Amino acid sequence: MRSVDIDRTPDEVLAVNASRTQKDALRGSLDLLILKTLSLGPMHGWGISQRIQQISQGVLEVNQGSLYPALQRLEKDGLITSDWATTENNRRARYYEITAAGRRALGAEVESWRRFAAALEAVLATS
Amino acid sequence: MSWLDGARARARLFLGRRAAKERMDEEIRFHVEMETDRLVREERLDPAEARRRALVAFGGVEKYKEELRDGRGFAWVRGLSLDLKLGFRMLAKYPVLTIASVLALAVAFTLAAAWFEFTSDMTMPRLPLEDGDRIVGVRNRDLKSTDADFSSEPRSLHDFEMWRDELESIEHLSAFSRVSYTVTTEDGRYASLEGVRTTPSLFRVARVAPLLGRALIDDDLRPDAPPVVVLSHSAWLRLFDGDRSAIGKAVRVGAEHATVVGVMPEGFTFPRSDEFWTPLRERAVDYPRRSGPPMAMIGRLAPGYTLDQAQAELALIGERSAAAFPDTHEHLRPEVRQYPRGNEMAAIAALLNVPFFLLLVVIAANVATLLIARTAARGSELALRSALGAGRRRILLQLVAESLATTSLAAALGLAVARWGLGWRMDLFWEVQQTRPPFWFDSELSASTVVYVCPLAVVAAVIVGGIPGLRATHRRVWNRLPQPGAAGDGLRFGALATGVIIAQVALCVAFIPVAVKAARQQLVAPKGEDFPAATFLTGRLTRHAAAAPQSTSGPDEARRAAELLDEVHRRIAAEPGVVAATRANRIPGFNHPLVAVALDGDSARIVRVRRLAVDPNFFEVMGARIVAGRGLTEADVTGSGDVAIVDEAWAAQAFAGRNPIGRHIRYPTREGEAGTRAYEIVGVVAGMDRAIGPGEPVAIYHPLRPAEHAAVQFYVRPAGAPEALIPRIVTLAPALDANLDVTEVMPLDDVWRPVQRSDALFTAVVAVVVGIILLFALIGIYALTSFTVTRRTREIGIRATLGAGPRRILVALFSRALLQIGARIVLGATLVSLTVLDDPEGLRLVGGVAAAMLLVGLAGCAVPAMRALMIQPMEALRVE
Repeated sequence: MRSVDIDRTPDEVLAVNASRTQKDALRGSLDLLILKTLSLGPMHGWGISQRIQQISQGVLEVNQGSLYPALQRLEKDGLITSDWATTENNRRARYYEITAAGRRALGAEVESWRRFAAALEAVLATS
Repeated sequence: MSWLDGARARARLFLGRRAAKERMDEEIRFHVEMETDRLVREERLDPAEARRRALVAFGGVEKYKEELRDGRGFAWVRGLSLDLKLGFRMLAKYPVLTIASVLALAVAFTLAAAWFEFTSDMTMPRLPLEDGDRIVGVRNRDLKSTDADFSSEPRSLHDFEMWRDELESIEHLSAFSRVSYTVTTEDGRYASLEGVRTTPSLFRVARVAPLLGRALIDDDLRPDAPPVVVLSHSAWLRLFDGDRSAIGKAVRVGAEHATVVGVMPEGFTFPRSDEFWTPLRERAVDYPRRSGPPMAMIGRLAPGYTLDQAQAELALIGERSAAAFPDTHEHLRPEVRQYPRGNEMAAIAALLNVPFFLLLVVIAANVATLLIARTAARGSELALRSALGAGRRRILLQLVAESLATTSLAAALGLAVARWGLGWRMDLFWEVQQTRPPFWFDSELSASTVVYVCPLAVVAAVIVGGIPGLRATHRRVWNRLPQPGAAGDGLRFGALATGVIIAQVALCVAFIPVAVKAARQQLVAPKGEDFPAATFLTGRLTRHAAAAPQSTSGPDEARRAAELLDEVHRRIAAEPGVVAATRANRIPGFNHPLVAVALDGDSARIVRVRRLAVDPNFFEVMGARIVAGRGLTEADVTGSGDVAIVDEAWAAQAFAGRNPIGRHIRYPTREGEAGTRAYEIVGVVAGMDRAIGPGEPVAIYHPLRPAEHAAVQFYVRPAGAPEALIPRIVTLAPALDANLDVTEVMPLDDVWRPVQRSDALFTAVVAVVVGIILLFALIGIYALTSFTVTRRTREIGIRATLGAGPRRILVALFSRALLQIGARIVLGATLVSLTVLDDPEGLRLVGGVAAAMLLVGLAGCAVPAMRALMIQPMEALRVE
């Protein structure tokens, strides 16, 4: 990418930068995992990290701190909402819930992930 | 709906910054605690170690806090503060440019802020009283009266009593009559005060309790009640030095002895700027309809009623009165308005601010033009920023934010100057108005003015930073800037900047000659300078309505009053040392209302003029002369009085140079001219403009018939110093008749001086504004030519290398610059001289301004050209 940029006029650099900054509803697999987890029911941040780990049987270990910027980003994009609630052991926690837009985005992203995985699988299966 | 959810989330995040921080802290704390608990529970760690491991697993709390903060959308706030910091650094880096820009913008901000403050105070006054917005004024409007003829305001004592008793929508309706008396204490201290004779309900309208003693009460209206007076705080200080034992003491208010029963708190001069209150005892039973003292009415909207409902109720009563008393009430229409009036003018007030807003825009555009070159010098920096990923919008925002540093500095300076200036400017304004400011008037800057200036600073910053920014980030420029060697060609003065300079040239050519002419007139020959105003003493002789015997108002009473006024005048004229004495109905030209006049035979053309009633000897005493026809005679005063003398200059214009003698004029009413008196023009007077001095010109003069006026303005010319005569005149009238009062006695030049000072101030403001426009036009032309020549440094180097002599190069450069500037000047001058100036003096001034511009343009050309020629050709070629 960088080598291309060097040959570009500043104008073109501006245009590329602009398209790069356009928001994708889902950014990376972390967003996908969070939305998938929340599609099962509302959950707080720590719970989300635990659930991802449980479901993936410890294979996908989420970097716990990076969860919160992702949650904030998803909330800003309107894919999830959040509110304070009390946990079973009577602690105050912020619970996140997926929105209708979030479900739509999840559906689209799961579809595209499956296509990607299938394509990758097909490539690996050859020879 | 996702964008809506998103927007909501963003708004929530942005608005709740503090809450967001708390939320972030609490969430992270919760997470670490939960993880710690899990580790203790599942891995049997001791709590301290579990917490340490939880924190490690979280991976740097502060790092994520930072990430979360940026995610909340505050990155731009930090960016803005950085840009502002950079902006302030830029100010320090280019001090001359900074000082010029800030000063020029500050002038525009000062004028905009001061004018906004002034217009909002004048047009949207707010009474500093409890529920002040529910106080209303009520009056009768006579559809038959000529406009601006204040004395013809219908007398409404009968209506007042009816309205007071019947109106449900207005409570505490009170009537007051403004009077001005000399108030004298028993130990001889006196003060000339304005006050009101009022019904006691006025104090219930105001809802303000007295500081000492009591306010007026209904019992004070009984015919046998002892006369009383309530004093304002400042009157109490002046007459009694703030002595609390003033209550119960006797004072003389004009002719009447009264007991001081109360003192109002400081600042209270309701209804306007009134210093004392005495009871208004007139009753309708003693007067025929449409007579009684002149008075105004004020009340409070009753709870639950609106202004419209009050107007509807009042209109209904008005219709009933018109049907019941057609002789007196047929043309009367009662109306209720907000008190003080003005709220309905808010839209006009907003419009009044447009010229000052435009001035700011013009000055900001000028500053922007100056900054184009500075922005061009930063081309490489901006290109680098862009290459690092900054969008055009981001770079524009940066330039605007930097400019915000300049404009906010200028706005702060402008507000400070406006605050300082408003104080004494407003004093001068009220002095010119010959009245004290109403008590609700406040010359401090209001919060709304500060709020108004903030968006102005942003608008100015958008212009100042935006215009050079748009030029500097233009696609064509972008493409070239990073390429070495071609930078000089990258940035040009665009059509916009050139347009600004052309507009300036036109403005200069238009404004400067006009302003120079006005200023020269003001400085060389201020109006009235050749008139010996200091040798005249003037004052107002008033016959108070209280004197009106209650049953005999009518022609007899008027005649007796006229005889009294004549007698005082004779005595004043007979005073030792008095050379001449004369009278008019007012001081001509000061607060002098315009009336509509229809010229006979040309009745479709109605013009608005000032008219004055004068004694037959008025023109002679004032040094004016009759240049056609005849002057006024005693027969005009005693006869029908249907004659007029017109001002020479006005007549020449109004009658298009034809002889006005023998023609007729009429003062039409709102319903037309039918039934109005026709006045025959019998003479033409010249030279009255000298005697009016800085006042507004008066067009028409009629004989003064004292019976028609409640007060007359006298002019006395003593042999010695006029001040020496003041004590005699002040005591002479009350000695003759207790109901006569002489007020505002002063040398004529004391009346003139504030107006002259105000005119001088206005000229100064115009001169400063014009000076700034000129300065910027000159700097703009300099910048334009010097920028153009600098861009050609490389070309000059090549030419010199190829053997072109310095002379040839200079001739080429100069002829081009001359052509460009010359074309602009010719364009500006042609546009302007066709419309504004057609006299030789104006054309000479246009020529002078044009020459100055050419000179500056050539200087702008010469300096960089010489610089270019002085360096070696090879160096010039290396210039980027």
